[in-house]
Amino acid sequence: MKHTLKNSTKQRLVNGTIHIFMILLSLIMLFPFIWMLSTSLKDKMHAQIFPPQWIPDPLQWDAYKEVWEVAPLLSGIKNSLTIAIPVLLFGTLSSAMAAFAFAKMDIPKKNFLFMALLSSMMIPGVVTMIPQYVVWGKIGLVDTFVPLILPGTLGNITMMFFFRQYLTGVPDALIDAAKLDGAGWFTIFRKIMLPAMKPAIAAQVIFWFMGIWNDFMGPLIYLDSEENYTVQLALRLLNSMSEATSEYPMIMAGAVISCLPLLILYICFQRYFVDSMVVSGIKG
Amino acid sequence: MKRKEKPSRLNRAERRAGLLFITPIYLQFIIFFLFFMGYSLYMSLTDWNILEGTQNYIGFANFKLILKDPLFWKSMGNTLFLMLGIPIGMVFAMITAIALNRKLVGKTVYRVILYLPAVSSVVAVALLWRWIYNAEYGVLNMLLSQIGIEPVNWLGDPGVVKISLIILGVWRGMGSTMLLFLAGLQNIPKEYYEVVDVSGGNAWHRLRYVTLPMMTPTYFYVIITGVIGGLQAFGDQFIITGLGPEHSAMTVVYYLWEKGFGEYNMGAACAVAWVLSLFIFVITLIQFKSSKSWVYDGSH
Repeated sequence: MKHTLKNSTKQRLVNGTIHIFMILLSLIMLFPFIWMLSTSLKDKMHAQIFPPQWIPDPLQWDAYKEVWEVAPLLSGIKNSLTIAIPVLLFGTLSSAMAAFAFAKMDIPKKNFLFMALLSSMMIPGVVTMIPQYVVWGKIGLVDTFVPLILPGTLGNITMMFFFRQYLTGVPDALIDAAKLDGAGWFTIFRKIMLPAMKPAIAAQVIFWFMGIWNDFMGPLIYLDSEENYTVQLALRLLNSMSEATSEYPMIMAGAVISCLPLLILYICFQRYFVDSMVVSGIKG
Repeated sequence: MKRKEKPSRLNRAERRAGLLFITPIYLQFIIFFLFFMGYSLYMSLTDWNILEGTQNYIGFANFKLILKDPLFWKSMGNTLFLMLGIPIGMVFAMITAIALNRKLVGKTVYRVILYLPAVSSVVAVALLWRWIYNAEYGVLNMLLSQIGIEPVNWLGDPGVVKISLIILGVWRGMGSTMLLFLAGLQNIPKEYYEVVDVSGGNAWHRLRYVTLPMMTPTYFYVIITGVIGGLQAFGDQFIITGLGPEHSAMTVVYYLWEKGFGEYNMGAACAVAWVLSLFIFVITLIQFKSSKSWVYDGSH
């Protein structure tokens, strides 16, 4: 009895120390976010007073109302979605199909074909960036969404790799049974494989969406006119227009707005984030 | 049923369907990777300039020019310096992962908070830190002056700007590294700890002889991906500091960007990309070779 009592006291002491450490660390990690939110709810003057004011007084929503007028944030969100939706829809389908073929089907030179695809992951994207820009320019498609959409709709090799890993865990018996029933490969893919891959698809789609939403260099290269700006470019434009006049509440309001979709996705699908991080991390 | 016994008509149908399934992704691979890689290699051997309209073959002149350019080496030095954030982030991530690898009330909340920076919009985070680091009205200098420390020119002092970027990098990346470490910790078999306990070891021994060595594959993964990503750093620098005072925040990809979209010297930009790729390849190869001496591979 005495032994367990001592143990649990010690245990409680350790946990208490950890809590203190973690709470301090969490505060440090959260501090920039708190400052972002706090600034966005102030007026221009209160954002810059000394000592810094953590809880805005008076609380102002003006920045959130006005920011839409200052920078093309709304069209930015719309443009980002216009790029993301077709890419995610077709790109995921294409990646899933290829993953299925590589995991479960008999195709000639399968290993070679697979390894060739993987090898492309070793070359940094900047290698093909310049010639792609030159060619899209020649075709006259710079300052359109095509260069940002088309390559993605054909698939995503990281995603394909992740799906293939996942599918090796799906029993072949499912496929054999369907084959005996006379199902074709497309039917097997659509009726059996896609449903079996649902959790993997959810995790990867969320991750990829985050990548597209956050893509900065691609839009920076290809999009020139403001009405075509994605959310990240609109935010940068907002900064260059508001910083000189110290409109920091406005900039921070834009920052909060651009973070919200990602944060909501993260809070709702937390488990998927962890899963796809960990699986691609450990097995990659 | 073995494959060989199947009628060849079915087998051929399977092969045809399979090839059809990989066609889209292979189209992407062939067009957007293989073709443009060849194109890039060719461009790097020309004086391709879309402003001046030149595109003559000039051999390795671009490569010689870059390797002789002190600015290139400066940007390479900056890039490597910024990667100091990788080990710093790993130490913090390891401490928090060990702290959270137990039954603890509120564990999920801590995990969510630490990972929050990684799921925030990149430009938003960059602008946020630009505001925090503001020399005059930034909250960081205000807080420092409250405890009597002189204001620091976070983004304007060439000696400080890289530190500022490293702090931001650690803040953003620590959460993901911690998640990987947590997963790694959970994969360590309990029996290993029991062996230490039975032979009278204490908490330090558990850490020193089980946890730290068993985590080496995860460190390895974090280092490899961190180095590959770190060598391609661009966005934060571009948004927060620009080139920085005296080019102190210029990274290799930023240098490439300047060549390509500042000078429109596409040939030189492609050459930079190839030098960078080669560098990444060699560094990764060295890491893989050296890993045999320190990464735990399942044998004893």
